[in-house]
Amino acid sequence: MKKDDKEKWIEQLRQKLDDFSEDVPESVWDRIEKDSMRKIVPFWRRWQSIAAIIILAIVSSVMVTLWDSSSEYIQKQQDKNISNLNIESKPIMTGDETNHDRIAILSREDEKPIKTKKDGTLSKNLVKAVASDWAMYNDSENETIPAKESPQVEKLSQKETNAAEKGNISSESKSETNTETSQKQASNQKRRAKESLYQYNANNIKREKQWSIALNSGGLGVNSTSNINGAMMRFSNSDYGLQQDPISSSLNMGSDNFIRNNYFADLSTINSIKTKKKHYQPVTFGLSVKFELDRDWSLETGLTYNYLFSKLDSDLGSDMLHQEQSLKYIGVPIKIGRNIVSLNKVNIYGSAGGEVETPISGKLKTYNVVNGKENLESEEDIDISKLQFSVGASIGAEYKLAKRFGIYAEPGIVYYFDDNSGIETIRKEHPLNFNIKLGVRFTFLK
Amino acid sequence: MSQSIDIDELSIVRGCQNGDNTARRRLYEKFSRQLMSVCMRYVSDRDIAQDILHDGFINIFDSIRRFKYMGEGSLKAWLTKVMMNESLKYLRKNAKLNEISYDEMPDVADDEESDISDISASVLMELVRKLPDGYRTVLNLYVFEDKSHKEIASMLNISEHTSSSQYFRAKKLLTTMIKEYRDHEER
Repeated sequence: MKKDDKEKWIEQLRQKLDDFSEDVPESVWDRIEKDSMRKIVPFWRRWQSIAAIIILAIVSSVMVTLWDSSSEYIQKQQDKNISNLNIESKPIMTGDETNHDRIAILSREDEKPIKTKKDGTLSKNLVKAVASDWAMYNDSENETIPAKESPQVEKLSQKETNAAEKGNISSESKSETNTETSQKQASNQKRRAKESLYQYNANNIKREKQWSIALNSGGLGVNSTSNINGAMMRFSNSDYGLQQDPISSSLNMGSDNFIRNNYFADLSTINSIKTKKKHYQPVTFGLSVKFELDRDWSLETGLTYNYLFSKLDSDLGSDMLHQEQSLKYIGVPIKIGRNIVSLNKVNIYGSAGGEVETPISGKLKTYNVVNGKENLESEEDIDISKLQFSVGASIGAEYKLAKRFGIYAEPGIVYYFDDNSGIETIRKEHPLNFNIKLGVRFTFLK
Repeated sequence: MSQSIDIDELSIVRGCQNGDNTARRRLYEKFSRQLMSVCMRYVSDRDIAQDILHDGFINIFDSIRRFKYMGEGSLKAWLTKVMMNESLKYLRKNAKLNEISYDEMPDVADDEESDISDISASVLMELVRKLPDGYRTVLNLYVFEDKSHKEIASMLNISEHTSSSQYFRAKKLLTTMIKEYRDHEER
């Protein structure tokens, strides 16, 4: 043991000084107390922000669910109205019939449901769509002539009667031709009326809404590597992370804020110190739930996990320093989606929205390199209490492998707002970036 | 290894792990003066030592959640280690640890001290603080932290040879200083 090597007096030296005490002014404790208290608050704020995000996610899911079920209710009511409509319609057309009944008759004939308003009446647009064709409608089976037309026809028949006096056969054939013409006209108009009606229907009828769950993984477009001249930040702020602005932070030697002193042997050598930063592509995983609002629009939310990793190498002459920073975030995205092209197996859509993330853990490992050998000098927690906000837009292409299952790719752009944490990440270096999500989607019906 | 548990220390540790400010104050009161001595042994300058004490305690309060109380003495050992690391961080950046000050090489022969029981601890502390940075740091690590020259070399980014020479010279210089002190006291 080394102790054998030590002389008696050295051992005495050790014993005397081991428990030695020095006076410490009270002001030191005051500083310590103040600075350590500041660190407690962010800890609690972090849990508050996580709780807020979870509540937000729950509330938005509940809201969307209620929306869906209320429109389902309306749909059921309308189904009732449609059936009522069919039952109440009269089979025979007369000139006095209302449009309501006329439409009902048409729909019953072809056994096609008609969309009505909540109170069972028809929408004005629907009536308009049919009315113009209806004006000329003439039921050929019953030879009904609309009131407008009757005087003209009467006149005609009067003329025919007069003409008939001259020659019986010619008047008869004329009236026959008139009947044929009016029959043909009527059937054409009836057909046109139906076409208008069903066209209107097809555009407006509600279909059952879907919702889906997706799992995805994604990444950003670029790594970020940079070489800077200047002193690397070693622990220059309370969060122990890699700092954004090396030079000015390094000149901040001791202040009222808790800034760990950044010691440099010789400030004039700062420019000769080279630092190499590398931010790696973040690793992202997400679970999302998408609710269809109507045929074209959808609302999406979920949970994401992001892992950010960065390396910093600094050559300080006598010392080579190497730092590794790893940060983990949990986020909740909210996005609106719009279908662009919807084919049998392929679906193309656009999506835009935002995300709020909270850091759940951060670590800064510092190594020093001596004679080519790396030693772990320290491992510290990075405490970021700031939320990360981002907005983005993307285009998605989905391919259905089965009825309820598909794969998708969603490339897009994203912009990360500065979270004012002072920690340097790829999001600070490249706030606007390209990203792509790949995943699988399961679709369910409500 | 001592297995006995100091209840007082354990309750302080638990309190600090829960972020209890009263527990923190108790920890500070119990150990700050000794830890200040550790810092001064390393960095010598009082003001800088106070800064290091401050930084060290912030670090302690932060990382005490990860500390496992292993019985009597384990707490002090851990606290001392934190202060030592803080001091070394400062010294690596600011002190010339490689330097060998030839001016101060004593002419004294190899007879080293055999007994210093007559010298008070505070005097010895003063003398240690007067040593050049490099000598003092190696002396601290070798004597108080039981590190080998190989370990010291990697901790300070110096060579093993430098470490052992500095330790040798530190002892020599300290012997000379003690002798001078004694001579001075006798007058």
